[in-house]
Amino acid sequence: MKRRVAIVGFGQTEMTAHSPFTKAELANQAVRRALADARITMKQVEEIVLGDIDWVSGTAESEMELADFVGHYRKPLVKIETGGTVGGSAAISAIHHVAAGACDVAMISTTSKFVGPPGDVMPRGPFLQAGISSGVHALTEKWCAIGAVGTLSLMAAAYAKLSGCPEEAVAIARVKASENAARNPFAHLRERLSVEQVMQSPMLTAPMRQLHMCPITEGSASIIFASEDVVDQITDKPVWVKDVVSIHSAQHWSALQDFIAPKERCVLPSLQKACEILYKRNGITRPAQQLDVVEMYEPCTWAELVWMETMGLAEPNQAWRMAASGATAIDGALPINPSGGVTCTNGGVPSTTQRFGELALQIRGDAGAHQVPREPRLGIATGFGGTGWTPLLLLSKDKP
Amino acid sequence: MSDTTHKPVPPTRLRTYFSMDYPVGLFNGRFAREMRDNGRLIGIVCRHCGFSMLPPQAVCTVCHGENIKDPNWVEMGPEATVAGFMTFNMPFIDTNDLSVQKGHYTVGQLMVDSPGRTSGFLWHFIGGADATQLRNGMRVRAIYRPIDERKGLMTDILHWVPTGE
Repeated sequence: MKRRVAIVGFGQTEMTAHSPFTKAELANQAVRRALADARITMKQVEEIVLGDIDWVSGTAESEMELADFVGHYRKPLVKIETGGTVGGSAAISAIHHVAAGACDVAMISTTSKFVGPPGDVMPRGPFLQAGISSGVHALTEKWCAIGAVGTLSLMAAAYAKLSGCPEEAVAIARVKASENAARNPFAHLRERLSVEQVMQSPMLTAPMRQLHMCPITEGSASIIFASEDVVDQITDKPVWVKDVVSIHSAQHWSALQDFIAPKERCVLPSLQKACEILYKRNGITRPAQQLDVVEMYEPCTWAELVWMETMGLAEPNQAWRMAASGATAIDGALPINPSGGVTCTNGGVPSTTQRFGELALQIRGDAGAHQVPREPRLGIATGFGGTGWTPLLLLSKDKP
Repeated sequence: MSDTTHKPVPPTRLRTYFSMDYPVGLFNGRFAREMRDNGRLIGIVCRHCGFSMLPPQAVCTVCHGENIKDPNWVEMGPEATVAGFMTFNMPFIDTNDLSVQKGHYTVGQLMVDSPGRTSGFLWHFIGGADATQLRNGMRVRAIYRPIDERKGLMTDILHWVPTGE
């Protein structure tokens, strides 16, 4: 990068199923908390990158209703829509702008607020699944392609068969997430779960149980980035952006055979490619040893296991053993999702923003009750979207 | 002015029939017509790398090669191998017409027989067997609706049933 960039502020709202606040009010809360975290005012923010998935809140141009509340009135503004990864895409865009010298301080804002039929007409799940299907092929896939639950269930079934992963191991990974979320005051599902509770939760599509799958969450998150030229005036605890990358895969499932109908091991192709590029550029050859903490976008607990293998954090078909051993717990050898992750909080729009922001808190040492005890210096955060994206962010305590 | 000129305008509520109109294009148009009129699946095998594209498209998913001039049209199916399947317990909204499918139904990820180097991939219903008898690798065959019921949509195929092989 031409100029080095650091995260200097992160703000998020409490995450809930049905927030009493409007979308604009939620956005404003997170923006104010990010500004307070960076100890600056809106006057010092030179540019804003807005991320959204408009259709989930029944709008097409949410930059209108958000203008006053986010604060982009008469400021340079870019808006990005890349599904569940939009927080990552917005962050990468803001980082590029700061690195290129277009501005010194940039902010991203991402907010989820859902509209849909009344609950007694249709639950939110199928309505969102239909929305997610808007990206798939109009003629051959939209009519029965079953959104996130279906495709991830297929992957889960393939993973269970190929790796021999027993249901207990998945439940242990889900319990780990619940333990972490219980310590995170901003998480949505904060109840401590037992292995038995997870294994008795309703089956959506075998082997996917309801508690394996992420919830539907309302809330907002915002991050502030600053260039190396001004960072000293803002904070003495910058978290440095070491590298970023964003990869997209194909529309058709035919190109995702390793994901959905694998022969030897399950792989997420876009994540595999993104890691290949990022690791090579940063001399990461043994990611499980070199990385101190991971904030991963796991849409379901099964995905956490598969993503661990795709990222090279575990050997193929062995991630469930690593998870069952406790190595990924908050005090384990490689803590994964100390925040509780996406299975405990999934706003969709702010989900990747939260991964990036939570990773920054961990490296800064400011995560509070869910702080990883062994001081992390290098960590990676991922995004994931049904739209085929993987954005990655590598953060470091040391100036690159 | 008399009071009559200041009467409030009565609110008008229109209830309109709502459906979605997707342009399918030349290549998918032929795919849909062949399914409707001849009861068969037509795809394209990439001239440059042999990748099978079902539904057919002009640009290859894998190598980005163009197949616009003289595309290699091939018939795929009518048999396929089950790559994965799931039985759904939650309602599903078909965004083509916003109809809601309710209840229990089995959807398979099908590797459709193709002369190319890969299979064509399709999602579709699996019928004719209870879910406990299904397994990956099972061979299935497409069962079409009677010709006068076909509309050029994927539902022209009623479902796929095990061949018994």
